[in-house]
Amino acid sequence: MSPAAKLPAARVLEEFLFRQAELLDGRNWDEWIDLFADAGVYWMPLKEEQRDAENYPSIFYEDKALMAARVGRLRDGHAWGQQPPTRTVHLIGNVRLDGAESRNGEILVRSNFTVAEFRRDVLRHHAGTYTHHLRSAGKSFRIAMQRVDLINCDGIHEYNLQVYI
Amino acid sequence: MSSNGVSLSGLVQPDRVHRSLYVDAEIFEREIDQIFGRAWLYVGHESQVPNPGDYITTQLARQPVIMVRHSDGSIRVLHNRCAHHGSMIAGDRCGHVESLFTCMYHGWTFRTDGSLVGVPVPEDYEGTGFDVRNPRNGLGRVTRVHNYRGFVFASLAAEGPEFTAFAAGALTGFDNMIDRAPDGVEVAGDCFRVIQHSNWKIFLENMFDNVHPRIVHQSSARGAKNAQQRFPAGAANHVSLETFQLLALDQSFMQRLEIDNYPWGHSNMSGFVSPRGEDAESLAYEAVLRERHGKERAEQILSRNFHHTMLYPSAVLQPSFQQLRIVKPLAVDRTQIDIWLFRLKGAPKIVFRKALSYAIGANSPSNMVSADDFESYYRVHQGLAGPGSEWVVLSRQMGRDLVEDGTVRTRVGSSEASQRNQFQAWRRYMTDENGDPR
Repeated sequence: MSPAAKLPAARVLEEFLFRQAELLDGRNWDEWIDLFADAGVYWMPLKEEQRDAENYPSIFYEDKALMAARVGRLRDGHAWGQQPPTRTVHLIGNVRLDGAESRNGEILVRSNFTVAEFRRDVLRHHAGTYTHHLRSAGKSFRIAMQRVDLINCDGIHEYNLQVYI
Repeated sequence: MSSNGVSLSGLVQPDRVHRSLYVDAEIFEREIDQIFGRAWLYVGHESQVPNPGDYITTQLARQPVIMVRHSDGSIRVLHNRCAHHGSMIAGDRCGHVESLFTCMYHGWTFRTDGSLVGVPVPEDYEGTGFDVRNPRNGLGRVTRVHNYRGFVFASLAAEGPEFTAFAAGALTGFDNMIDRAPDGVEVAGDCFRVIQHSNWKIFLENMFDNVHPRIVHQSSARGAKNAQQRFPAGAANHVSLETFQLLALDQSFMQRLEIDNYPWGHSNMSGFVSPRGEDAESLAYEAVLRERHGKERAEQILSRNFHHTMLYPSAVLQPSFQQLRIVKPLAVDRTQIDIWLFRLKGAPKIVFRKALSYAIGANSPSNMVSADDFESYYRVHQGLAGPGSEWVVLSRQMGRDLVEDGTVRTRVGSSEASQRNQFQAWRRYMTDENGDPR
């Protein structure tokens, strides 16, 4: 029986998505990075339905080394752009498994998110779609790819995205 | 015009400038007319409009414009405003028309050179004095347009210096990027669009400030260093991490940088990150360049490393990483920067990968470097808003520059010669009605 025919329960996957959001909101970035597979990537395309991250610009395109660099800066104490720091709250819903397929043993989960982000008196709002490519790892998963499609990806960005969405 | 009883001219002194240059809304409005309304501004690149009817839209000073490829193959810059009631003719950032622009409001039609073709009820205008049958009653045209090796610039002023005389030494940076491309350059996809909550001049000054990096970017440098120790991959997509670490080296590293400054406020600064590589792909690329240009010329091109070339007041090019940042001032305390990446056609993928890594890491909306620059710009702007302390000091290495034929050269990286030069150009733009800076 192929792994595709034996998808984990929807609830387990949902919990995993909620957990990754909770780690971000709690600024537990090392644990969050550990959710990724060794060659895992966090990708936020610049364009709707972008397919190519190697030959066209993206907003984020980070492997674990780049994630560690970002997190190192965020925690440094001399990251002036984090004085005051950014706070976030993620809300994840509309989790969809109906398109879930196994590709190299990966499980595809799509969901919608809204993220409220607050820094220095300014509250702003992000919204979009997550596409998680997950690999089973014991009782949990590892993220091979977390694709984050903001609905305003190619719009004007009023503030830097210093933390992960 | 005056501010706090001081004349505009007096706001720029040899060693300092007045805070009102950054925060006075009236001065800002005048800058848009006197500086952005007259200077040669970057419009777009010809690769964005490969075929007749292809267009992009943008804004020059206060003027919305369309850059379009006309049926004769030339590139035209037209006012994005219907000749009838003023509606923008093109509502999107880019697109294509089959020979005619049609206004969405009343259906007036125009050729891609702006000439008027038709209106819905022409007899309405009979005897009114407005001739709807005269093609010249079409879209406004920007007449002073210059296509420099594919880069299209325009000046909204009726008169002024020719483009090449205006750009002068800043062209060497554009030449260097174009010469690095075996088969020419092209825009790679869409641009990043980011907002700085600060005056536009604070950004341009910072491009040539070589004392701030190890203070402002120390956290990015430490973060990158620790990350590379933990994940020592060293792939092309980690060029950004290698670059970040250079930002926080001892000041003597930055002191080696050389900056040349030109009459209209432009500057060239030498590079501290080499785009060259020892890997097989990079060496193959250098071999292709030698084939195209000859050994000596190819080495000349590859060894000339610019960090920034600035065409004041609208464009900052990083020739070695194929990145062009365009300045669009929106308000006295709000500046839009459009960040374009270029592909060197005929060069192996690694050349673009390095540029991409650098651009995403340093300048994208998610960047890990400019986030701290933007914070410093914001704090500078907020600090200068207070009337109690009036002057900004710009006297680092003052009086030690070399001046040759109007070019101010500094061979000490920390010099504020570029900033002083920018404000000399600013003063001339703002106080001389003829717009002649010399």
